[in-house]
Amino acid sequence: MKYIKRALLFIFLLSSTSIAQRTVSATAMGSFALLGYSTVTRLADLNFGDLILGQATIVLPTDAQAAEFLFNGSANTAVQVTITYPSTLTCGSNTMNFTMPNKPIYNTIPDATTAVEFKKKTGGTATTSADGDLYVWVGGRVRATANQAAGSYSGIIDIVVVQP
Amino acid sequence: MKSFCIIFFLILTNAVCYCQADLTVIKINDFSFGTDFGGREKRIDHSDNGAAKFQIQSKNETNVMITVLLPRFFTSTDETARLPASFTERSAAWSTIDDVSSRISFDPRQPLSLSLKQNQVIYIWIGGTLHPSRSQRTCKYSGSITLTVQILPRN
Repeated sequence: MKYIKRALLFIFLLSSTSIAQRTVSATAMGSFALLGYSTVTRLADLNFGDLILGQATIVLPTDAQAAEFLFNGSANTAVQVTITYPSTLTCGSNTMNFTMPNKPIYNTIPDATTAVEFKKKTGGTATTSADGDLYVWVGGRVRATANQAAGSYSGIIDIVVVQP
Repeated sequence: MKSFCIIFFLILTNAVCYCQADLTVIKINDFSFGTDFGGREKRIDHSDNGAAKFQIQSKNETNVMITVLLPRFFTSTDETARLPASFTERSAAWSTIDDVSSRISFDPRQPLSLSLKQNQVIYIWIGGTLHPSRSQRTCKYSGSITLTVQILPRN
């Protein structure tokens, strides 16, 4: 009986302790979705200058007159670049054929002379710099016919960059 | 035999006290930092809708100590990427009513002691800041906050 009493007393004390230290908890879950930060900026238009009637004029991607774009997104990331060209330049109702004889080029620094060609004329995969930069240059070819109407001809080159 | 009965009675009394010391902690809201781009901090204040919200209720008058287990990082779903999280002395607040104007700020990194009256309800809100870098991997991240309430011995 003596041992039983001691045991019960011990249980009581233990139970008292459990009251003093009783804890309850609840957990809240947090969430956040991170989007890839990106911008595309047109740094320069493609400029053929004044044309000579009956002759083709070509601007290479490495030329100073080439169109230049700057993509800025996630660092050191492979991105997919797609470039869309117009088939003609227009001046009111007059048109002039536009073609793309050379593949566009890209670089992680603003230097076209050390740039690398995309695999296709419509672009391809390229990797951004540690700052997330990617420069793209685009050239083109136009031919003014012998009886081409005078005027200022223009078209739109679209660039789409997708980063995963 | 008599003393045995007394001790047995004490145990029963104690058991009854234990049952009556009802303390509940309920998570009312998870916390959400929403969606954003990398390279800039994403902060939610305790007063924002995205803050975590808890409710504490005690049936009895009691002293409690509240501790918060805060995440140092949010992790990607596949747990391979980590996003640093931080909390300040003003990231959390408590109130006896569910109202912004009556909130009292506290530091969730430190224990908070409160005295609860009988059947009193306490609300706790917790915000924080995430620090995604420019090179942070683009994906969904998650983390958790665990609020623990401990009943303190009465003086």
